[in-house]
Amino acid sequence: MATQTKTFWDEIETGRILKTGSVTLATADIRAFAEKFDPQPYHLDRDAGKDSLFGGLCASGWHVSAIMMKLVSDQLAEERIPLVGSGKVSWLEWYRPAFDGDTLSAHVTIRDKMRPENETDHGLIECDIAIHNQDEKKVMALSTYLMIESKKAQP
Amino acid sequence: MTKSSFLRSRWFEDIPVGEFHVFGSYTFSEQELIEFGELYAPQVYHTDPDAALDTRYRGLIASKWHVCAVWMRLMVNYMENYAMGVEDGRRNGAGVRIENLELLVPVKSGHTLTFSHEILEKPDKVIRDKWGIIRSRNEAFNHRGDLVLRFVIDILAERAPK
Repeated sequence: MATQTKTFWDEIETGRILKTGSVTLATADIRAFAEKFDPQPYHLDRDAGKDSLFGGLCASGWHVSAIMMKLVSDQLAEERIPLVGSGKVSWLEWYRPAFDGDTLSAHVTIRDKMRPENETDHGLIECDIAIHNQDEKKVMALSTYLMIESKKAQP
Repeated sequence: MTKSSFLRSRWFEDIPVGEFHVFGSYTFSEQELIEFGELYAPQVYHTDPDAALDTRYRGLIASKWHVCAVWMRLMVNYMENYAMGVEDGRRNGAGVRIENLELLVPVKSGHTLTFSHEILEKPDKVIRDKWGIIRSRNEAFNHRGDLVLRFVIDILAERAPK
């Protein structure tokens, strides 16, 4: 990432909305995540999924969170916004299941920006992030703080 | 892992407010940190041990979402053990909401986290006729005794049939 092309914290405008790319959930990916981190039957087995409150084989909520991180990371990189860490997640809600074959994408709304005390190398942006499926139905949303490199850190 | 088509839980009514459990420990390896980072959190401080030395973290650290995923794994194991022998069809529900999720101290390879959870309250709300909400405070401490992770989560639990 060439320094001169970066968009630093100082230059980010509040109110801006970043639209990420998308990812389609493969059955194998849902199962692989579930086997490692969330081996509940409705994340592993199609019949168990049908019999569950979700109504089908679906991704772990934490898998959706991880996919959100990947979508947001890739979009920030694409826009040359240097992410250097993250802060608190004020809240996060899961609204509906993400089934295999669903295509997920995210919108990141930059609500506010602030400089933490005693920090000069980065600033925070407060973001509302919403994940939708291919039918524009909301799957998950959260409000979180991201740490973005600041111009002042440059020599 | 059970062969049944659902994970068992206690009835909503049988889960007491104030209950506290230390439910598991986990040691993170460098390889796991990198694998998770490459799939979901591709910043160099999650994927590249050398480049990570030049970041504010001075080395590779786990993604917050990785630490949460490990919380989930230990919670599933714990629920399985806790409801061992329960055969009456009751089942656990989904997580619906999280508040104030914070990773306060970096988690590096070789660090061991110990996870605990405490039932805070049972909000008076019935969802889809049969689910209640269990609100718990979850924390993880590292091998030095630092509070590393904390969050409050609302999880559905099935209400006992009347």
